[in-house]
Amino acid sequence: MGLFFYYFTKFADHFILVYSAILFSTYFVLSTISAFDIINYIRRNSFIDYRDILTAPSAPAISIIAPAYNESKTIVENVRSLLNIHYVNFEVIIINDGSKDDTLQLMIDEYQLEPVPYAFEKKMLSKPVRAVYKSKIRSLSKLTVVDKVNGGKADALNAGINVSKYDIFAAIDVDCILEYESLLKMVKPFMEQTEANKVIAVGGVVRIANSCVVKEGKIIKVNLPHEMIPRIQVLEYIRAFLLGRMAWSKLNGLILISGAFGMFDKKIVIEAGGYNHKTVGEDMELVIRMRRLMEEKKQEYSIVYLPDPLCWTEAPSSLKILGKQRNRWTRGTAETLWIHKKLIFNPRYRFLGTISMPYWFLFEWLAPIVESTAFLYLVMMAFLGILNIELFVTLFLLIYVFAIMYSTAAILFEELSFHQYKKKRDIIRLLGTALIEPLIVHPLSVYYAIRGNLDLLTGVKNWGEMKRKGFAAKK
Amino acid sequence: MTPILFILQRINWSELNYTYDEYGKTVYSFPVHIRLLLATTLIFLLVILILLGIILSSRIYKTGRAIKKNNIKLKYQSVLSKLLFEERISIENISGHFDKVDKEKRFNRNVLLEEIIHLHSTFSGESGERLEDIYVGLNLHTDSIKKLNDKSWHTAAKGMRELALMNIKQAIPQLNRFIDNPNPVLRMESRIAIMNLSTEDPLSFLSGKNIQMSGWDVAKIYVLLSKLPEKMIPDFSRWLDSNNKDVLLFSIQMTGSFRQQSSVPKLIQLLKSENENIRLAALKSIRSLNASQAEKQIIEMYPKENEYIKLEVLKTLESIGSLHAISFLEKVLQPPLKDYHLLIQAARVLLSLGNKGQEIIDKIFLNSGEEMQLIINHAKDKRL
Repeated sequence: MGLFFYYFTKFADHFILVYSAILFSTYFVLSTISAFDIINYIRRNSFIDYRDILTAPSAPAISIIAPAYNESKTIVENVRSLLNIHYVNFEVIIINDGSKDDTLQLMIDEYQLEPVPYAFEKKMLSKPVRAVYKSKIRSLSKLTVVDKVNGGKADALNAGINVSKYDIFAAIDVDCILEYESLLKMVKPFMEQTEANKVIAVGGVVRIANSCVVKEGKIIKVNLPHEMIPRIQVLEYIRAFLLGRMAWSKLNGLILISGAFGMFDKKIVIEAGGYNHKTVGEDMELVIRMRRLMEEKKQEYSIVYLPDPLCWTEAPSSLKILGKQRNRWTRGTAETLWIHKKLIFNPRYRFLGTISMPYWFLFEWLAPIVESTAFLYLVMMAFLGILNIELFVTLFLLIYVFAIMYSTAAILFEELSFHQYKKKRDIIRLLGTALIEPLIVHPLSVYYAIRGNLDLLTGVKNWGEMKRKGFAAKK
Repeated sequence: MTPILFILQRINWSELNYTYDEYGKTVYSFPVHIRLLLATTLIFLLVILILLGIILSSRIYKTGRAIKKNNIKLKYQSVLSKLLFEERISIENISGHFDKVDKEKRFNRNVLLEEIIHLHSTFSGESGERLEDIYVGLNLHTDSIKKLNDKSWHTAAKGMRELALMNIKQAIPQLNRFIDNPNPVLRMESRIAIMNLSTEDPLSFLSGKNIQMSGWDVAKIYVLLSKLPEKMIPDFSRWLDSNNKDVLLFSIQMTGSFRQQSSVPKLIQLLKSENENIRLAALKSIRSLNASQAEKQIIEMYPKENEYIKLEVLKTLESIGSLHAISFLEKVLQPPLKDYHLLIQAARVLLSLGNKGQEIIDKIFLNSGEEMQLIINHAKDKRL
């Protein structure tokens, strides 16, 4: 028993060390790739006048699909904001997903909507559509409102795809605020695709709008969130989007386009089967299924990621809501990995099977489990009086310092690239946040992830309602 | 707190490896892996300091540079306005109005160049030409030409843009080297520059061997072409026989956009192309050109096509269709009812064919079930 325990502790110590080393190395490699790619992107961008798309007859038409559930506080303003998007040929489809409040009635009243005889095929599975509305006002001809029985976000998006007219669609959270040139920037990769390499989806960076000044559906002034929890998420988002996803895109291994804003080739989405109702991580699951389809068809393809801040969203400002969000993200990741378990370590799926999926399995889904197990292990060792205090302290220090270094690198990327937070005070506050985050919010995130996995095992299926304050209220 | 205190009490602090030195001070002697971890931590700390230094210096550098640039800019603005509006100075004497540092220091030359280009975008005619003279008089065009050979692609692209804006026609041969460059920005910038500089054949680069053109390139070139005087727009039918698929696709699209009716016979031939994208583009151009002579051919191609081309055929028929299309459209609207968008479009074509089409639609409506009635009502509603 003693010998077993000896070897067990040796293994555990080494496992924690090796796991951390691999994780740090991947972060380093990914951020290096991101750095080069962002520099290249910014340089390329300086030669592009996106307004050219507005006059080009070859600019593709876009369907913007935005599900809405109990959004009465902000729906009128949000729809107005979407209708004012700077693009030439588009339609806005709002899916009222069986809201229990007066979301639909508010839209009917404000936009003078009336039911229309809308014939569409149910190419994608979705709950019954009660009615399709169009406005009596000619200038609002781009707006279509679909009222359907509640079925969740994936179901609503599928209904939107069924109703949509155009070959490219943008899935967007209805309360997101898009930057002026968002659609123009997102559509460009589709215009650059070749027959040999098809662009199947484009994602963009999502930024946090808490404390920003919003007027008539537009961000007038970017501010760093005044509250700590959203501010921590600013750091997280910069790290995830600028340091992570940009690199995955460059490696053509990206498997997640944020559900808040993404653009897709409708034909491929339909061929892949549309959004999956059985997971709360429908955004990631769809991208993996699309990639899987292309791999199985042996067709070259790309998923492009743009580092520009294209979409602004309200982040949870209370721990309770943050916990629900993280719980859902974990369940979504776990469900998606389970659905596509066949791909993990499968060389048939090339980079997707050998790198992307194993990475998500080992370092996204498994990381909180490893972290919490390691914590429990340390407590147990301490309890038994055999804790290797030197290893514990040095490892803790190393991880803490690495977390700060990674966040500082993210702040530097932001500073040198898109420079959204212009006040000197903002940088100091972000650096301060980087010091606090690993000690306070990160352990909570690990806890929420563990809860998410437990909830998944016990069959919890809810999406976790996101209570919003709404931008319209802020001035 | 009690469990934490309990755990802390259980920790064997004496496990720490330490000895005493000759002065009685504690000296820790850690195992190799611990020392390695500590060293890594120190390296990370150092990296943090370096990153912080870069953040700080970047802010200071950016602010300082902006101030310096602004000061130099103000100086150049007054010199340039004097050269433009106050005095009639010959080209040879232009350089006398600038200090040695303005002419020699790279930063200053770049600011001056930026300012001239900025003013050039505001002024046209005589003032624009005068700015071009100043640009040449200060030898800034040699800077721009030098940039073409720079290792970094973005500097070369910048040079191309400067040469195009400042109308340096003698740079065309150098620009021609880049028209099929693998870098899309260099490729595009060189083509734009050639289009701006060439007075006779702005699209000469289309005859290049390995020309690649994405949808984005097509859009960009279309925008430029649409700004040219009509007489400068070439006859695109000359490239409708091109073996280069990208050039062919571009030319098909341009014949439609610039309403070049003479290309219709060739476009009709291209409907038989093996390439789906070429057939699709030809259909769209036929629609733009309202080429009713293509009606028979597009109806014939319908059964063999995929749903995207079928939809395009029907949309084209809405523009060019005649009563001859009625029997074909009736067939499209026959059960089984699948591909609603095709059925809706077929109904729309019938509705566009006047009374006869309307009569047929009414007849189908009366003799059909709910599904077809909904499709017809959808087609009738102009908002959908």
